[in-house]
Amino acid sequence: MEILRVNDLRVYFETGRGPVKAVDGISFGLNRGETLGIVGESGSGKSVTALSIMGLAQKIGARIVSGEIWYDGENLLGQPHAYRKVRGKKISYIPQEAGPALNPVLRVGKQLGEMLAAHLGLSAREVRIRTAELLEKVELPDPHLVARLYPHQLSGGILQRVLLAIALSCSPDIVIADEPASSLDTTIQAQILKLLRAIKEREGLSVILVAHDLGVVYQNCDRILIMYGGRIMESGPTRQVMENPFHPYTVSLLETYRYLEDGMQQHEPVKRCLPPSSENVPHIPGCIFAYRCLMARETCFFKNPSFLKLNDERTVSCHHLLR
Amino acid sequence: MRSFKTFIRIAFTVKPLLLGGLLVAFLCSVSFLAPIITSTDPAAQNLAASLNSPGEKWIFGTDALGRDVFSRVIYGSRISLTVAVSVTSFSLIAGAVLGTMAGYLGGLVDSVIMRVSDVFLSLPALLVAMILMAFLGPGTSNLIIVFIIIYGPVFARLIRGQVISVKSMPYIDAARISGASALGLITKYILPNCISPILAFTAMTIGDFIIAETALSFLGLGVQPPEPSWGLMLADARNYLFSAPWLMIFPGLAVMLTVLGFNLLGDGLGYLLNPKQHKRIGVIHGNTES
Amino acid sequence: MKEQGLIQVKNLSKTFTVSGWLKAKNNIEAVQDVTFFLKSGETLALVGESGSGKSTVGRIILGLVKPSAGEVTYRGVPIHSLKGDRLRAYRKAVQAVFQDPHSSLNPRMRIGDIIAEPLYNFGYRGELRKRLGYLLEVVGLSADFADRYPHQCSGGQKQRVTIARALAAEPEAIILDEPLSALDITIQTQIITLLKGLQAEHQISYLLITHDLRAVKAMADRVVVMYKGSIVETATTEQFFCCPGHTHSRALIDAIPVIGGLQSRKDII
Repeated sequence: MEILRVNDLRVYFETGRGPVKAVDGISFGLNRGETLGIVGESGSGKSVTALSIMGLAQKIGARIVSGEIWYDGENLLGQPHAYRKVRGKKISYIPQEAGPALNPVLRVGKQLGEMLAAHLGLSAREVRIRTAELLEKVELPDPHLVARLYPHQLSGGILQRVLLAIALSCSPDIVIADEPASSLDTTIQAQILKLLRAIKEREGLSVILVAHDLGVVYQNCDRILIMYGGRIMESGPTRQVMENPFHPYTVSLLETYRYLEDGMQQHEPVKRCLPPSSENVPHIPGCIFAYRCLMARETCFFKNPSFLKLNDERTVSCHHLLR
Repeated sequence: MRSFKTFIRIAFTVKPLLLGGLLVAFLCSVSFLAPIITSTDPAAQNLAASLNSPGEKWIFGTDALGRDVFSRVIYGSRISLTVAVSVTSFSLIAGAVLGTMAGYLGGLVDSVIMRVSDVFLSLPALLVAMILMAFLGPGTSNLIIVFIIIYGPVFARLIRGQVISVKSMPYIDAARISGASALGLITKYILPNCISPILAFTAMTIGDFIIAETALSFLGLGVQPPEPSWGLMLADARNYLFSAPWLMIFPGLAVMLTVLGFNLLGDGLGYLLNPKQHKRIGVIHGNTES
Repeated sequence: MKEQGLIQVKNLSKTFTVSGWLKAKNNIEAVQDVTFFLKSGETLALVGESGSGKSTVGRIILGLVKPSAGEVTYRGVPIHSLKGDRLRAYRKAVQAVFQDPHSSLNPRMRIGDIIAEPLYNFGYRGELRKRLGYLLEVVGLSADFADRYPHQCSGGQKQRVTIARALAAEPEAIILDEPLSALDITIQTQIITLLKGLQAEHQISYLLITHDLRAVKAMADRVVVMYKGSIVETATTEQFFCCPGHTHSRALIDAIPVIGGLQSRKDII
């Protein structure tokens, strides 16, 4: 059953040289209790998608051009006030970095408590109990000590746990995690992801995990969307997509990944993955990946491929499969 | 740097920059073109035409000595600008030298320079200016010297802070590894990267100088008669506040517009050069990468 | 000592003292008694979590930080006593590439001037423009990049620029401090290929400071593992990945997110 539905979302940045299409017409659903991975390289629009769902796209100067975000029988994009009931309560967000997310002059426990008091209207006593409970839930070694410290006194790993506690504070239905702990050590990252997974199972959350690391996605997600240039290239159950990819982009991404994972020993397949051009891609009516795709033919440049449903779960957007 | 066209576009996007720029440009051209704008000598007295109200012959009226207020306001911009620009540039240079030394070298040099500047900063600027002026004697050049002594430490402190923050950037380490000398580090890496907030601040302080010059001249400690300074004109106007209000209104308006112009320009520059706004402005002119 | 190496790090220690007006002095021992060597033409990986002191070791070798005890020698000469021309010669020989390509480029300089900086400073005798073109070509950037500013380049391109800058000095060793962690995986493989190619051609030694074991596997000949300021294991890359000798090494290896293989999802849950 779908808990969240995104239809034809388009988010543009207005620039002097015309709009930059950060997200260009994507549609997907999030099922209750699943972890959905949104994968892509930088500039693929994955973070903008996450922020748009949170209703925060305007904060980074983006404009939602069109689209619908359905949650609990309501189109959130339709009503400006709808988000007030939902954001931070029913749908919460874990940012990539703790630094900008926490107030440096307030103790961690106080910040968490203020969130609880504001959103849930708890009394001082309830707040204290709930704060301790939340910090325990994210498996902090000494929650009482952490609650009394300031953000700068805590390590990156602990701060990520605090952010997780804040995200969980109002018992949300959906947690959107934007590259959690990806700037930290791999050991810490693994711990945080494991914790997120455990909490998700226990509380029956639905999670959207934004990531660029295919390994992270493989280990954490039930279903994935592969994004490129603001569009979805391929989607489906993680195992199926990773083990039997159809889209040339997914294929090349996986090949590169495996190549690196194996220590880049065999002869390089890197030529398959041409460097992404930093130049603004001229507006092409066709497939956004065409200029990088080794299999591109003439049609690819002129006609945007529609989505092909391979089975109940998998969709691919590529002309080669439409034949 | 960027093309002229983009610059113009940014100027229009950042409204204070445009307004401030226009006001300041207007002011500069007025003071340059003063002899063309008005043919009347600002010091020429005509007691027969004393205290004429604004009209066809004298658009801003005349003062007690029959001098043309319009001509005096126009020529007054020259004095205000001279004082403001020379004070700014000299105290900026002094501040840059001291601030860079303090920030770059740190340690004892830093402590000494900063404590001395703290002493200057802790005293009320106008009071210090009055005492020093009384000591040095009135006059335009002394006025400039006093302002440099007062505002130099302000710039030194500001620049020191900038230098310290830039010094910790990884590209400074990278430059060291690339073999840059201390002088090269300062001139090519540190100063160019501190300049933006300083520039914005400078434009704002120009407004302060103009007010301070006006105030000191008003008190008789600054520019001396018969030179047409706005402050002097205001001081003279005091006695005719009710009988000839134009004597107060026009120089006052000139001071206000000038200060407003420089403040807007400073605001606009601050907005434009603030890294936090980069993304926004970047989006406006198309640098969406990184 | 028999195996002298190009750069030898001997019993290096670094203690940072944190003191405030009212607080008691607090000593942080970032590096404790670290000894290793870097041979000519090899890649040595210095691996550890953040806070393990690995970056401090790199900064000491680069002469940006003074050690509290111990020394770094380059071809047998202690580097922290070098002055003037000999210091310049050392700087020329040991270059660096940092983690964040964005902040390690001066935003006010054009790419061409950035890359030419070591050429000016180390007194390159030749035609600058030609050398610049060559360096850009080597790192896979077109010649028109010389006129761009850093903000007009992507992350991968900026990292190529920092590599070109390091190469401009014709170094014998490059300290690579997390050179890949800010980049996409596709770009990572490109940069690794580039670095390996350069090493094969010019016999440059790399000291790869990283927590990313995938890069280690792809690049390093030998691995030194640091934990809380000390070295806990030194091994060849093969040894390290097949049978790590220290529990911390094991933990590092286990944390690599892999697709399939040993660590399938079921094993973890």
